[in-house]
Amino acid sequence: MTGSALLSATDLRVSYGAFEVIKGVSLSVNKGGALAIIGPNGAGKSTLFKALTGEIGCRSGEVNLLGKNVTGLPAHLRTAEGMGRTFQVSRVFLELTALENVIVALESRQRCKKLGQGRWWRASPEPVLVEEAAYLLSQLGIAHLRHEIAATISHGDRKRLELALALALEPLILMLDEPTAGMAPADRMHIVDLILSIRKEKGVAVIMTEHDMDVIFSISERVMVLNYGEVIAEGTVAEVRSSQTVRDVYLGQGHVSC
Amino acid sequence: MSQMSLTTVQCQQSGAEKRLGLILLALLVVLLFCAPSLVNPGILFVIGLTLVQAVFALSWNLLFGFTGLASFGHAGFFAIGAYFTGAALRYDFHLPFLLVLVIAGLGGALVAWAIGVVALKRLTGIFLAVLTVALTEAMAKIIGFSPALGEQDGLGNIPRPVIDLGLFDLDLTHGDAYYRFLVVATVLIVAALWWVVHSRLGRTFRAIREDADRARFIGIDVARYRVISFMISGGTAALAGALSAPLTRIVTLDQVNWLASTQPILNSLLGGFTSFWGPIVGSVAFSTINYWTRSFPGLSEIMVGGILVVVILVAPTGILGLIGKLRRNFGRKGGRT
Amino acid sequence: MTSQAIFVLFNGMASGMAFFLVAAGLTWVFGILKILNLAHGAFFMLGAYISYSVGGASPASIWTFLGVALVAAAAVGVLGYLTDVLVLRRLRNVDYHYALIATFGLMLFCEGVAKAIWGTDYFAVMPPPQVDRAIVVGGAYISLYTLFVIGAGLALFAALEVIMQSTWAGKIMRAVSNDPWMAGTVGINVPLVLMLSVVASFVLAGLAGGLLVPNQALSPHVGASFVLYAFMAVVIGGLGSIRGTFLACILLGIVESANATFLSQYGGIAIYVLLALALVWKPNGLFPAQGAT
Repeated sequence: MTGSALLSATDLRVSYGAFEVIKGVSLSVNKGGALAIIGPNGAGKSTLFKALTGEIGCRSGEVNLLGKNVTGLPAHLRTAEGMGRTFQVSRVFLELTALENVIVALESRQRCKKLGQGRWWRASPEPVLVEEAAYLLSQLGIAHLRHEIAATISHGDRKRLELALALALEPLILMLDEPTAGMAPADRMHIVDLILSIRKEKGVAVIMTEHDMDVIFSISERVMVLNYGEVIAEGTVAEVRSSQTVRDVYLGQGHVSC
Repeated sequence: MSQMSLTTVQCQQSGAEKRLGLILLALLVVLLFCAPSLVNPGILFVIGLTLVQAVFALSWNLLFGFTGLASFGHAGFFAIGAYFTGAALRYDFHLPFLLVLVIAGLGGALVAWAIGVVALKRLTGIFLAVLTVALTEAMAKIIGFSPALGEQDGLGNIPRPVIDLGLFDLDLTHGDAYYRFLVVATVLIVAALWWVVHSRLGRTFRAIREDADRARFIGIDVARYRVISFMISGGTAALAGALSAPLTRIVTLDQVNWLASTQPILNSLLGGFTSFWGPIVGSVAFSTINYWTRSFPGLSEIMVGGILVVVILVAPTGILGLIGKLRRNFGRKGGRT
Repeated sequence: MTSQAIFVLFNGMASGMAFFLVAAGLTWVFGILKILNLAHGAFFMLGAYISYSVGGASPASIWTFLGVALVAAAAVGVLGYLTDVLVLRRLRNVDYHYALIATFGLMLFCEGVAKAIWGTDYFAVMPPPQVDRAIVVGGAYISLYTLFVIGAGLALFAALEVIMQSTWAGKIMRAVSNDPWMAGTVGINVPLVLMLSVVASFVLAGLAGGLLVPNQALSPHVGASFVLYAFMAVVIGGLGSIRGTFLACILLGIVESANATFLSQYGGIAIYVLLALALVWKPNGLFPAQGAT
């Protein structure tokens, strides 16, 4: 399980008070891999996600990134180790412009990777970083919005901006929390294409939680099905798709496209 | 929380506007410097106090407008600077005045660090609110115990310093001379704070203010930077206090009470907390209002408290915020979409 | 030595109950409205001043004393209602920083009004004659008024516990406090409950002011001091927890009393040390709120 794995979690247990929400979940993702975590509402997907990203603590179990134990590390240090994250409702720095958003992320990268502060005494950002920020925005198709205040740009473009922020830190793995939540079908496919191209060009691994099966089948290699805090099925997309257990669990969900 | 950002104001200013602003600013500084020849000593004193309050308000707003933390006991830091400087001059600690200022600032930063490390790791700003108020009250009690610090009567008869610069002495004993020193010191501090806000440190603070969780997930150690912001804020407030002591030549417990802590809050919100210059505008505005009203017991509290409540309810972004809105409205009327 | 200890114990309990009389309203409003109302201390102070003005410096009997306190409570309740309509209502849905700052300003405003109306001198009010005697307990002189305050505080705590846990009014308030939107959908008139809760907490503050007037030197700063003690108790005890506040108040009261008795030249400092220790050791309070925040 460990060894060649990029991210691995071993026997994670998370409790809210006396109530055990995650009951011994293990998973692993290889370099450049893509894992989707699915399950009915209340299965514990977001809790598991947060345990992996460091937002909540585990009662027991281990999370390893590139072999290094990151279980106790707070979020900002996990980010420094190579974990990027996006939120279900995209969160960006609303009062800053798109360009400034990315610049802040790049400056943070300099700090995290100990690349030196550059000319920290400057009262305006380093031109090199400004250029890089603009380039990143153009890669995500929102270069034209660079001087717009983030609060004024559309929902879909904000998701792209958030991806730019996550990518600015040159992550090894992206944690995507319902990346297409609340989007129209056409936009959804744009995001899927974006994620696929990011995986291809940057070799970034992806773990995501999702409800939309089309998205899952397009992006992921492996799928893990959670129910009541336990893994009830895991395997390739095809294996999970044909699993009877999964069908029983999802009976009545309605949006399974088989 | 904020409706308009510093960057909005800046982006809307063209190069020509920026240059105009700079020229006006330079003129203002020159005017201030020449003030002793232009106005009577009474008004000069008020201007001096306004400068001190402006720096104090800027220190508070660094924390609130730019890092998203509200301190309700900033007078505690001011008092640290004021009392230390007052004592150093009155009891002749044999320290160069500039060093006294530096120590006062560092003292404020140190206390801020101690409070920050305890309060800023917790989730809500309520802890910080309570702790900062508690700081001021505790400080008032401690000062009240110390005969050396004048207890209830205050530390008076503070002499103005003479600064030994090696080749010559800078004699600040005369009111006008100290006032000019104050102007220079204020300009330097304001410039330093302007730099902080526009540097990458300032961008980090603003990111934390906007969305602390998001900031964590781009690798920012939010707790650490909040403490840093608090330290700069506390240190600058202490500097403001330190500069005020030789100006007023007396330091009393009036500098450590609820009213004193509310003053920078009012000045920042009145002027507009979303802009760097807001606290300065607010300080000037309030000084002007204060100058034209007669004094009776309780009036200061009524005015400061009352205006603060009205500003929050009616115009939370303050004077500069209103001006910004008007400019945007006029821009729209000019035909732009 | 033990008579001093007994004195400290009783005095401390009385101080603690005095703090609780003020803190209870504060923690209650926070639990329901999620606003920390700094102006609470101002209403306490106004209650004290009003009962001083109405009842004079020497109340004739314990009944006039209580009556005056009720009058003060009612007056403050009315003022509180006006404040709610003019100021607090507008702060319910904004960032809590604005609410903190506005109520901070309100506190200052009321302090100014008190100064303007009553001046800055300290006033002293005598306890009513029935309780202006001392009894001897274990070698220490304990005034009956001290026992009265302790009784009042315990009675309030008991009343609040009963109301919140056992009555339908309490259930409604807890529902609104846990999930106002949900409470609204099941037909509870949420704005009315909020308004009543706010007014009730102000009435409590005014009553506390009236009852505690003989306890101290009355000055415009009294509101600010008490509200700070109340905050410290709320923070140490756990935001929104009445039991936590109660325990924390007792703790603060005893520490304060011990400080005044044994270290009188440095009176008033020990509670800040306690606050610092409590925040370092138990940052979420003695009874932290589960889940939320």
